[in-house]
Amino acid sequence: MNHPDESPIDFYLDDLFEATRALPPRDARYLLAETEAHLRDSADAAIADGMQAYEAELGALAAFGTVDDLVPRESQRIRMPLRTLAGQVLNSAVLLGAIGAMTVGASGVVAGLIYLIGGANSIVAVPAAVLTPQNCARWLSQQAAVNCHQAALSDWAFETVYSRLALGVAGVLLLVTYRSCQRRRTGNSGLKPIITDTAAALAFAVAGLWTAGLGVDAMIVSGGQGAGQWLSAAPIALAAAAIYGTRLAKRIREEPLR
Amino acid sequence: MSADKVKGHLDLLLLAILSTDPGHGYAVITQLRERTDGLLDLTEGAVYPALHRLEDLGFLASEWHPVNGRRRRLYRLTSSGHTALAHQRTEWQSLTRAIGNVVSSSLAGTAEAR
Repeated sequence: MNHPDESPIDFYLDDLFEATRALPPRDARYLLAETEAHLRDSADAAIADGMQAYEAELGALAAFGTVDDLVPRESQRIRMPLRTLAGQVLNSAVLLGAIGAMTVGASGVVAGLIYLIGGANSIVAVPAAVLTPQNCARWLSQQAAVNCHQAALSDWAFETVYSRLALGVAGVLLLVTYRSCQRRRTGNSGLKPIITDTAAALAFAVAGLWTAGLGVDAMIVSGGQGAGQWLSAAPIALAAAAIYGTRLAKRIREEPLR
Repeated sequence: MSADKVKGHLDLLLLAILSTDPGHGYAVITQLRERTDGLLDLTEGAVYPALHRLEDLGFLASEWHPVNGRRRRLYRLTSSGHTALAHQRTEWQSLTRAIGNVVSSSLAGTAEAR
């Protein structure tokens, strides 16, 4: 929304408000109120000396310093309350959880393709121990299959693909809800991006390497039977790790040297 | 004088200014500028975190006051603040005396050598 009557001081206060969201509310309120009073006093003094309003406000802002200078100084003074920290951790966990669920959903799409190309055998392996008469009766009653092993394979492959897709849809819904809350500013701000990017890059890298290892193991030990469930997840997780890793590297390089 | 040189002495400057009369941030900055003839090049915004820190330490107390139609946080020195100011003032005087001795003797030496 455009507000033509708003001035440089108003825009500065908007930025300051945004930057102080991690501060305890009382400290943020004091800093905002004091900053506004100071800037308007300073601009008024310049206007009284004959300066134009716009230039007077720019001058007041230049003398006051940037938001990036001010907020870290204030933050250093304040130890973050546990409640705020817990809110930030929860906020970031929700975001990363939604993204994690979406990557699982994407792996479900890949698993579905592997299933279509290679059949249920390529997605899951069914150990003989689970082929009990009771289980077989259940599987055979649910689908037309030539034998219990085939019925079990179809059931498990179906579950593997569709449970992942369902988790992916849940992830999308969670992300939409999260973004909506953020836009309405009903939620806390999250942890610093450098922390969440590090956590996400590490988690996805571990998941990617782990599932790739299990997939290779299934290829070697079981002749590829069931390898698809792991190999469908590995490239997605590794791609997510690469995206977060790249973002992290960019952030570290852009971080000002102190 | 650069902001870096002021930084280490900002607490002392703020305590000294507020020791005579209570004041809000803008008034403190104005007095700082006037009393130093504008020699101290200080980012004005840096004063607020410093005031808040001194309040956390118990050296200042503050309350909201309407001044010229605007609500301002008025700071005043507490008794701990007066004690801290006296202590910091003594330290500052010792430091300037010590530095002065070194600089003066070196100046005298230079003059004699000429």
